[in-house]
Amino acid sequence: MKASHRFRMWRSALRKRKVNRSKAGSFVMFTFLIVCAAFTALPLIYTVVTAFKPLDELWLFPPSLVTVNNPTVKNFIDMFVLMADSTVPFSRYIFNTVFITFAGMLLHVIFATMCAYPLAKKQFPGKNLFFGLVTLALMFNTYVTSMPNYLTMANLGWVDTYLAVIIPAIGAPIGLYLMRQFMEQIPDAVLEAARVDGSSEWQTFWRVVIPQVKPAWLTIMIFSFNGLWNLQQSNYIYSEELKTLPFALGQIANGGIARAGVSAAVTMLLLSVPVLFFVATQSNIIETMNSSGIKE
Amino acid sequence: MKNKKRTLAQQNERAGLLYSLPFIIGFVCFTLFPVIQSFLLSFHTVSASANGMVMRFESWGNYHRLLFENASYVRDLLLPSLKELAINFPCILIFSFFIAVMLNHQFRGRTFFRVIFFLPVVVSSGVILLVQDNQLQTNMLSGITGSASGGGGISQFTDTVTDLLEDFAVGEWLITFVTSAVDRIYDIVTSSGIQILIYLAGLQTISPSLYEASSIEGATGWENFWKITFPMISPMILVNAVYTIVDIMGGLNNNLVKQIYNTSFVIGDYGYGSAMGWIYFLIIGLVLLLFLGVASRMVYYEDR
Repeated sequence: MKASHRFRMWRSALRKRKVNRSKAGSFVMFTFLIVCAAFTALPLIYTVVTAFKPLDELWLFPPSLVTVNNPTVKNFIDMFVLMADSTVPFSRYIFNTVFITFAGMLLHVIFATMCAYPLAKKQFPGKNLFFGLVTLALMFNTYVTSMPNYLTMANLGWVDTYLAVIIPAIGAPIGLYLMRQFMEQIPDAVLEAARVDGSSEWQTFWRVVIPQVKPAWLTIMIFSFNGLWNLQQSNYIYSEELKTLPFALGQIANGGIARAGVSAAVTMLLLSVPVLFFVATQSNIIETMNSSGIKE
Repeated sequence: MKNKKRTLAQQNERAGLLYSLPFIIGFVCFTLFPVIQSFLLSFHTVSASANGMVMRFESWGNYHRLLFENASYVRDLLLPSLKELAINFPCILIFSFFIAVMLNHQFRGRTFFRVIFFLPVVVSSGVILLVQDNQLQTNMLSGITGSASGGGGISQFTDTVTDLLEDFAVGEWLITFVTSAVDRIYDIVTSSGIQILIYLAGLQTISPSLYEASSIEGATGWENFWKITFPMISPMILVNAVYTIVDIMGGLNNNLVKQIYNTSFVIGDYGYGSAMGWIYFLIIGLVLLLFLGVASRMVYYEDR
């Protein structure tokens, strides 16, 4: 009785202190966040504003950054008209990008996670050598390797197929690197407990490891989604029917100076999907954050 | 029955190989193999002809040309990008960490801010590339980043500040310092997106029970930060350090990378371009190894 009373007193004291602190603290915090956010949001705000500008306002100098006098949706209408004009039906481009993005992302996340698990928690020969190679491979930019990669694709007969884009995305080293570092943090005790309780290797992986590193694989998903969605043109694809949405929209946007408004509309359309994906995944991360597995 | 006879270690070994195999195959074919291939190509002169690709062995020729004959490679490309790394690397690491800690607090509009700080990642990989041929749009966007003579945005801001400082008749060095500082802040804020994300993911795997326990023992927020948050996040600091180095050195707006691209694909001298890439790679690799050697000793893992 007495103990619980004291506990309640302590809780309320704690809560009070938190409120006091957060009043001064959150003012500073918000100011700082807003200043920094202004830097990153400006290009996007500008793009959005430009997308709604009529032609005559596009030519103002200096351009107005955050305001538009007579907002119009003409740019969007023009965009759809241009889309309808394309030789390959536009839905085909959309399908290509959606297919490449989701297939590449899912396979990458699954294989990278499966590979990261033993690299973090098991012993097998060549493990450290392999991880060392992955770390070093992070530093290679795609330009240096694109020519040999093309030769590989040509030898496999994959040039001008979806495979040429999707399969290399699976082996991207950054996802594995991230995943392994996160799994390293899972206490061995949890895995041992699962084993003692009779779970098979696959069950341990699927039911214990995967939920523990949910923030990690959601992060990799964002990573991979973003990269694949924005894939504009690939060295390995020539047929018009296999080209991606950003490529097709890029063609529309690059139709000369008069299409500045349209190109802003295009940009907005393309950006909105990864941003929505990010919002969706982020809210998922927040939900699961308090469900970590171990009580010491 | 056979399965039962294996020792635990053997089982682990088998499972380990089995789980990693798909990725290892993909990695070897599409990352490791091209890397080795490009190393070999860097000793050749590569040219395209009617019969396909012609390779002529050059031995160290490409490297010799780069390091001793073409003075601008080291002076104008290599050294500036190393200098850039030395300044931006610590700034990005620290900045993104504090932003992530802030964004991990419970407050209204948190998702909104998270999205905003993630935006540069989406923007840099998509739009800028998309509109690179569109002169007007490029001018507008680069005007914002202050890198070209476009109008508006940050560059307008820096122009105003420059004018103001000139009115006060302060020294030239102060003006350049202020304007370059603003440019740098922009650089740092916009290249922190992924790092913030990784830190956030790391922060969310910290068990709340640790904080509960320490509050019961009477620890302050400051102590919580340094004694719980910081050690628990230290593996992620390492990850971010590696990612930041890779990102700065390999990013598309790095002049050296642009030069590698130009040499390899515009001029078509792929061997020479590979050699450029490899010298660069060896230097970053060295930086990274040194850093990892020092830093991994300081990282805290729960099990060790």
